[in-house]
Amino acid sequence: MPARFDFSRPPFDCLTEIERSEFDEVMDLEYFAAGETVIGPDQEVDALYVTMKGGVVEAGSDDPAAYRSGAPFDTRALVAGRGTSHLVAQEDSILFRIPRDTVLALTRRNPMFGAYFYQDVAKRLAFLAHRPFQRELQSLWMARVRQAPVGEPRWLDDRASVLDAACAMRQHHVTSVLVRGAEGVGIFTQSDLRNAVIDGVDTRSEAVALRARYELHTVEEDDFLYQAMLTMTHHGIQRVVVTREGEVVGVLEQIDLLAFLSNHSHLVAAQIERAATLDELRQAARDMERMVTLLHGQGVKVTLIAELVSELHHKLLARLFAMVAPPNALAHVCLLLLGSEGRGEQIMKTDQDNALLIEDGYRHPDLPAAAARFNELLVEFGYPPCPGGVMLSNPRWRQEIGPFKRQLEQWMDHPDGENAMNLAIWQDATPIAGRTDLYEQVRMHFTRWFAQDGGLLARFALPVEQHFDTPRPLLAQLWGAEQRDALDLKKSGIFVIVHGARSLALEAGVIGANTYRRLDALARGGHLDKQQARDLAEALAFLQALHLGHALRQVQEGKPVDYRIAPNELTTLENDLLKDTLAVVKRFRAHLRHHFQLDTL
Amino acid sequence: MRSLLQSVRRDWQRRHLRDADYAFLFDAAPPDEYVSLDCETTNLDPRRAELLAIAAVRVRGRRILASERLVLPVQPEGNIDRAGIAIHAIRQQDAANGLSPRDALAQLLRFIGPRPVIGYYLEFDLAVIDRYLRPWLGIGLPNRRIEVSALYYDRHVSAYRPEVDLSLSAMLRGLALPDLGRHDPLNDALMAALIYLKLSQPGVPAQS
Repeated sequence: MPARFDFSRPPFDCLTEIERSEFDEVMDLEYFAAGETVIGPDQEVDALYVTMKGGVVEAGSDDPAAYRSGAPFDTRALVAGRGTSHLVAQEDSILFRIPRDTVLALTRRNPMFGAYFYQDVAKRLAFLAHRPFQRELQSLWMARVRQAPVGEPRWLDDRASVLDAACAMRQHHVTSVLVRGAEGVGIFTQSDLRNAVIDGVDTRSEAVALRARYELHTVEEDDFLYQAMLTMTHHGIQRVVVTREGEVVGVLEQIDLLAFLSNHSHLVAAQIERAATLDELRQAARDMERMVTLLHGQGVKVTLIAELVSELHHKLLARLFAMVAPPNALAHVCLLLLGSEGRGEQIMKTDQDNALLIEDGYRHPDLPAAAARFNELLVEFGYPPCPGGVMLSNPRWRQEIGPFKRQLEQWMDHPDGENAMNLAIWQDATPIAGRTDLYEQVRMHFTRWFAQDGGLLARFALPVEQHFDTPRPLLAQLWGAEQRDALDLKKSGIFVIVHGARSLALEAGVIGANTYRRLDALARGGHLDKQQARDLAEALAFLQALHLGHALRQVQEGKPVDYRIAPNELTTLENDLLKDTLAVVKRFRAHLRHHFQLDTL
Repeated sequence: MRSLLQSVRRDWQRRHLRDADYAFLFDAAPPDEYVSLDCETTNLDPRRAELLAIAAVRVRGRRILASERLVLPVQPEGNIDRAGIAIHAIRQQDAANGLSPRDALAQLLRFIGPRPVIGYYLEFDLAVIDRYLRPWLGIGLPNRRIEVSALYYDRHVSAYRPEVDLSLSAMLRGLALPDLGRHDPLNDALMAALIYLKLSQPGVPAQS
């Protein structure tokens, strides 16, 4: 069929050339006038349809699926061999018709194509949602040299001795130094040092300028990374000198380049640990952001990025607190991260949620100022302040554990509005520095109190109903092309899954704040159907991945990060997966409503 | 419903068919089946144009069986008009790999069988084909012919609008059908089939 079948749209984009021509061979066209039934309920289905022109809709549904140009349907009916819903031509429509046998044979041979037809939502999402989308595919090799961790050049003057060079290397944790000699700029490396020792020179008197090499291999900082790698491989060297318009601005080590290309998280970790000043820590925070962009661009699964980032994030905040806290304070306090930071699910710096628990009776005059400084510095590092004031500079979130327990009790007495929010935020607390036992004491108190009151749990869970934002305009537009209302990913999906898991975890006494771990623990403990837990985990991962992409775009455009995604930001595949995801969320809400008897509140 | 005249003509053709192998052309057609047809030719004069390519596709009910298509390149005896090459993009050397007209038409006749033939400006294509068939079979193609521009005219003409634009692009526009790309015989056959399907549905409103 030479005519107009668009193989660039998913799932057909994962077919090989040969598979495409197979498709072409068997494809027919079918014409339906407006109002005619394309697939009837329970009708035998022997073909996959793809709309060429016109549109087909589900009849008799409040929330009808619509299949417009390029949209394949009905994948469920195709696998089952029988129609599940009533599909009607919305207008005069021309459809491509691909026989069922051909499609099924291809799903078996081409796993990526096959994944599209999975009936298991979790499997489908897991397989499809994390393939790097074409538009974001950015090879690291095509990144610029300046994006890699280029080290500062360490200069020695030409009178310095070989020993001075060795000392400088140790002091700055570098493997090479630069000298300006009579012959221009030279480099002196660890292997040159080794050779000097073997040659028996007097390291104290021998001028480093004599032992340096003056044939520098350089790359411009705007060159591609692969050029740097090529230069190193070609000359069998471990580093290249980086220049900006010919002037030396740094040294790129092969080992750092390789680390950058594989997984640069450990670099940032090392950077945080080595940081001796606030400036160095700030640089690490900036590098973290870059790491997220790169990992996302490489198509790394969002849950993995979140784990890496929260790990680094915890290190960073712990290090920062240690820098600003009064000496010895860490032996008497516990620094907590709350909310999404506590759950380890915050990838972009949306806001800070933190608190400080203080040992009863411990008072240090500098503690309030240190707390305020901590929050200010975080703002400087790019973490916006929490609009709800959930920060340790706020005395309510910086208390001795006795009074803090009383406050939790008050919130539990009136678990509405802000109090309910505070309880939810608290429930996601994770200790990251200082006395973990202080946190344990408060947590035990909190859960024991909660367990005594069944009604409290229901009221805790209630916001899954109240905050829900029905994504109808988007759903109606799925597969459509026009820009309509944006969908709030948080309200429509993320919040329901996170808060539902939080509520169930609280009820079941599941320890740990991460939603994925909670879902897993709930399923293992028999508190949640295993399949449902898997569906929810994949649905959440998908929503968070969508949000990450959206947030990175906003950051790039210099806009504040929000959760409102417009339909035209999504690829057709994402649109389709989003629909699956929202159906999972809907089922979970129904489950929670029934489980906590939310209707009776 | 066949008129008396048509019936007489058919009987005459049946009696004059020289090659009994092609008697199947007069069998009863399978219900609701058609063949949409288009040819590319060396020039636009029906008295001397030669076949360059033939495309045909079966239609069954509402379905266009593109998977059972017939696409045949034909080698002409004479030269291809220069002006035509720019339109159909078949050069002398492209046509050199084609079938002889007789082999191509033998395949086409078996593909069509007794089914009615659908086309756009069918008169020209069939005039060329019949010119090849007559010396060989003694008759032209006997099948019923469905001219889509005639169907379109009947649907769109009115006392107020006696002029109907019967160009292919105007018809596609008027019927809200996709233009698959012209001067490829298979696409032309597919578009004729689409026009037929759309116009054979009852009650399609005319569009201005």
